[in-house]
Amino acid sequence: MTDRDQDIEARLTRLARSTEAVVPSEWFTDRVMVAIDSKREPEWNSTIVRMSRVALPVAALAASIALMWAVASEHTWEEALAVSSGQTELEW
Amino acid sequence: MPTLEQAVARIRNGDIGAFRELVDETSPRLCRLAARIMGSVADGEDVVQDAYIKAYGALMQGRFDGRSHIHTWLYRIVTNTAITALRSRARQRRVTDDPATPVPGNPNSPETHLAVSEIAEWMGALPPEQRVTLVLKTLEGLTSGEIAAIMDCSEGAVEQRLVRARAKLRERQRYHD
Repeated sequence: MTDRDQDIEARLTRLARSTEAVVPSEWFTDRVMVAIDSKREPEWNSTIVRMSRVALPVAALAASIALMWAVASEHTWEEALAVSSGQTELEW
Repeated sequence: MPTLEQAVARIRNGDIGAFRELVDETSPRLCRLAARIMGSVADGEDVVQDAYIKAYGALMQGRFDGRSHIHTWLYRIVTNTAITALRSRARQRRVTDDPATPVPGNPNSPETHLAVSEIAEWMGALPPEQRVTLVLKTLEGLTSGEIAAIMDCSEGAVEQRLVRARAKLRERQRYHD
């Protein structure tokens, strides 16, 4: 290690020690909270976002069930039509 | 005493008071880190404030997955915000604040302000990534693995940045001798 390297390491060590005691200003937390408050979404907005996260999977499940029910109903309806039209032909 | 992980869970449920606890708990270390990187206590506080705003947004949008420790995650946000601020400062050619001017409400001694501004003056010519890596290693005392996790790069890249940063400081010293 050269003298310059030793100088650099010694200076880094000194600066680490002399900046060890850096602390934030007294009202730093308040300042951060005010800044966050001004950027926050309105309460109702975030509530809708949170609720929609839960509601979306439930709505998707309900839509799938409704689709299956609609397909099943269509078959039943067609079968009923076929039977009734057959009956009509017989009667006619 | 509730842990930071518990505070994070409460923040996700919309408890803003839990975020205040997180700031109280983590801001001393983060402000010291940012002051060392920026070479100014006031600029460091601005960087940490921006970082907390980003962290709050990320927590509320569920973008913190908990894979890394909350401290590592906050360090990462602060270092990225500081790198952006250093680049912006370089573009604007802004000088750091005068250490002789007292900052209202700031309890740091004039000697501490002088030491912080000495870092800015000494490391001012280093590219932001090298400067941050050198601060994390030599002033914060982190391992190369920890720095790699914070800066999202390999340990080899960390070592390379350290070698280059030290070489630039040596070159600077040679020029001044």
